[in-house]
Amino acid sequence: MSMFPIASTTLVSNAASISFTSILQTFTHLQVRVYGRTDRGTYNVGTMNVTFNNDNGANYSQHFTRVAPDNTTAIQAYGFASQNSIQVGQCAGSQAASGVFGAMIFDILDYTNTSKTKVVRGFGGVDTNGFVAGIKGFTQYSSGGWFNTNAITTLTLLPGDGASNFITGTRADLYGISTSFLTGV
Amino acid sequence: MPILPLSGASSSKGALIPLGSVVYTTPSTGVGFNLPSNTTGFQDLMLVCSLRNETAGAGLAFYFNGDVGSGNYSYNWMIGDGATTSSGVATNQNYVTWFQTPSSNDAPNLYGTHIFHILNPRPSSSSPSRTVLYRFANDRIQSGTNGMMTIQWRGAQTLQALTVGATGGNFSAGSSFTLYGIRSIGQ
Repeated sequence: MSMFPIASTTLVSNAASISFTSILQTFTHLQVRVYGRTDRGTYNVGTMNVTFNNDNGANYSQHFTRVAPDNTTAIQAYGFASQNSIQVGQCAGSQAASGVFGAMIFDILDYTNTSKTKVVRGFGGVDTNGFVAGIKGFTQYSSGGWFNTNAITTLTLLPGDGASNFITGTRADLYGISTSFLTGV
Repeated sequence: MPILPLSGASSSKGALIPLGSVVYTTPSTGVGFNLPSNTTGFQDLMLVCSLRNETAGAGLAFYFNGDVGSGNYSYNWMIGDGATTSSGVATNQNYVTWFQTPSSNDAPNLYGTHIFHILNPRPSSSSPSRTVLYRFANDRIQSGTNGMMTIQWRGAQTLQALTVGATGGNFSAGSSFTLYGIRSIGQ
């Protein structure tokens, strides 16, 4: 099994979304690696969400387990059905110190398989060296389902939590994972 | 503490490239990896460790560029031990310390796994901080822990070295450390 870079985007200006289109259908799995920051006001964190094939309908579910953001030692667990996207991780928000970005890595197995609905599994977080607006940052495991058996040809990253944009410097890298030997790549 | 020379980007195809590796045949204090001054050949780095401490209660220390005294690290984490879960935060730390490794108190041949994903190893004016995702796990026969941590390093220098050391005593023989570079498109 080997991993190959397919596409990369680093923002040179703020953007409302990041999309990978016409995704090669020659791999078995996909991995996305993101270093992100949004313009979410008030807070030092902001979510990153994903949709597939421009489907913005209530066709997704999501679950995540994360550090409680407040001044406790708790861990939070959430699950949501009938969502318009999947939350895959946490970026830094506008109130994080300058230059701080969140990081996340998520995988989509069997993305070309037309007999399976698609599942996303990821992990990531952001640390802001203490509390800002009552939030200490996040470390999070995420998963989600897209209840559609179509092969994934487009993947779109969106800022959540009311943010309008990803900011300059946010980058996303798409990788294909092969389960067979490839030559000449 | 031995410092491994780092091989340059190999002619291997694919995104995940092994850069350096060591497996200890005798106990040792840890390992440091020196990186080329120009790391433009890789988008991210990944460090994979299998560790056991010789000393009961010891753990690991993790830091960059020998930066161990400037309070440039902070981290938040979540952890479960099979019975309870908890989370926490540490701010303005001189390096990352973590104590979730099997040791001499545990059954023989037990090692814990530790994987560090270092995104954005090269600083820029818009993103001088580095964020590291750290996942760990160990099972010790009716005990053990697993969890995850997000680390921020505020050293603004180019990443030149990273070190994993034992907080007390040595890591046991059989402990291993492998550093990978992850290429992006065009690298």
